[in-house]
Amino acid sequence: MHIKVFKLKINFKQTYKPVFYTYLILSIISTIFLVFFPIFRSEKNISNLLVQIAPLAIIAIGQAIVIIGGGVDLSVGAVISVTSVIAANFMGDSILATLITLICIFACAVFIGYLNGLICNETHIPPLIVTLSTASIIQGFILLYRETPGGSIPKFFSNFILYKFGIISTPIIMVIILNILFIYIMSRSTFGLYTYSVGGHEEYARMVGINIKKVRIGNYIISAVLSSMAGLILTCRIGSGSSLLGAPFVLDSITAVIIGGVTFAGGLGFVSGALGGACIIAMLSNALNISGVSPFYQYIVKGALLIIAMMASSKRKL
Amino acid sequence: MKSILNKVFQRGGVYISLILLLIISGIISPNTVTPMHLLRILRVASILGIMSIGQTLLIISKGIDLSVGAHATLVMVIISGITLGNPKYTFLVIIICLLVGLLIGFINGLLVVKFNIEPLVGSLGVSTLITGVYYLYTKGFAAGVAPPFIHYVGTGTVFGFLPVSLIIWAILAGIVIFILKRTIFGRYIYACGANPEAAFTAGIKVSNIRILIYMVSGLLTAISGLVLAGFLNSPTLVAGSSYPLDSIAAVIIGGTTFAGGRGNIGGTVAGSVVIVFLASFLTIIGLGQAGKFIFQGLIILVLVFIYTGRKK
Repeated sequence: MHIKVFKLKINFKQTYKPVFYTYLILSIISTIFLVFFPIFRSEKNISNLLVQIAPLAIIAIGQAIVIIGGGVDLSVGAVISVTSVIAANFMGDSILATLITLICIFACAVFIGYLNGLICNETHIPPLIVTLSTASIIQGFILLYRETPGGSIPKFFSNFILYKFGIISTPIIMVIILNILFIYIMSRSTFGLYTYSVGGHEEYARMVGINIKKVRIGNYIISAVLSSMAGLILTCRIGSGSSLLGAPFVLDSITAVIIGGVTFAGGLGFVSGALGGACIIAMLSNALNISGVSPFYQYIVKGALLIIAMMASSKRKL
Repeated sequence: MKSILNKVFQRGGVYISLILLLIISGIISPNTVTPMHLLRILRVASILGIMSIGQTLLIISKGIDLSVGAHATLVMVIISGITLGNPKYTFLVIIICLLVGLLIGFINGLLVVKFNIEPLVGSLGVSTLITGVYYLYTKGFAAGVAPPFIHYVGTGTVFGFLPVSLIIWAILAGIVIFILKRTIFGRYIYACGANPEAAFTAGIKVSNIRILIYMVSGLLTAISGLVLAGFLNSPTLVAGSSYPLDSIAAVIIGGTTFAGGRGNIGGTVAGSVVIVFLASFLTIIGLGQAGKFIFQGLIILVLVFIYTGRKK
């Protein structure tokens, strides 16, 4: 099954395979855990697990979009930290203050994404280095403002974000809605198509007349905004603002996206895969945590996962 | 005119930056430019410097290694944790550490070359793996003491004032500069980075060379880990966290670009000094950790932009 658009062929049948494998592995792993670990299938753990999946899944959507577009976003951790510190220190107790803070956080995220995209567009600096440097600068400013965790989230906001009915909770609803939204955007809209084109073959995309600069900025803005949403969820979970909150999520989000079948070079892969990848990682972390295994094994597992996923994905090139 | 300026900056920009930094720092806080302080800075910079030599070779050949921090920490843990300060089997453990360095370099190289994994992500994965290994080994608590010889390497001086680690750094830099400029292997390194296909067609075994470069870099990182162990004397598990970005920054500041195929060790040496000196200067004026993050990011962005110019 081929689709010819602008003389670019996109072979969907071939590229859906990795997503299929991702969900196959996810089903196998979750079945094993559910069957063999009674603690795992308790309602409390399942609802915890779902809340744990949420931030990573949301960040992974943004990371997937950026990587599909040919870049990479290492500033997701810094965005989470910014969100966390601003939210915890400025939300105050009134609804008005909370709303204004949310708008500020949103504006910050858009600005950071815009900055990332702008620097990638205007200079020859590889996206890796750009986002690593912007992350460093942002983290520096946050540390200047508030070195130690502090501040608090107003009760009504945190109750709203963490509202649970049964095993479903707001974060899961967010994950589902955002996934549906961005799967639609990436597969049906022009922006999605352009992102695939720019990531797959930038020169051809330019020749065909796609505005690469706008597409790239759009990708990074999406990633930053999604990261800040995840940051809000995380901040509510811990109840105060921490400038170090985002650190593990950078590597985890890239791992999730690669597991999900997105090739690092760009142009191939699906957002839906990233969701599967995030679930696998979160599930493995959760299982390792509750089975009492030393937390240090998580490093080994995640490192090995990343390498294995990269080995599998490097076979597919555009 | 613009391209000449670019070329001058790329070759010499780092030295200009270093001198400027020293001048500014000397004006604001004259204590920082005394010879004693500078020698102290150079001692610390040698750890980053030795590591960055390897990173330079990698970036010239279109690779990268983000696992240097974890790698150095692992070596530090090995030597301090196994010898526990006992000088008895020092040289044996040093050999083990160097072999570990070669092994990690080999693994990194294999992943990039044979399995076609992006160097960035592959080395991130290896970094996480190594982190897991040394966390498991130490169970979260870094224990042990560096043996006396390593302690001497890390903190000792020769002739009363020259730090030993600086001499090691200078010797290693000299060897690598000689290899790059005067040997065929050096030309091969540049060729693999500049145009791998052409190099392969010309008969150069690009894959083998690239793996070899990774192994050399691994060896250098292991050496820097040994110096680090001697300098700190007692290992800490977070000592290595800033090294990946620092070493890349040192290489970039030194004028080597990610395009590959060109670069010079001298620039990297100066770049390492800039990074360490800047960090210490920021600490002195009170900006500390936060300031370091900000300036590091800024320096990388600004300097790479100056070196490589705008996109048309």
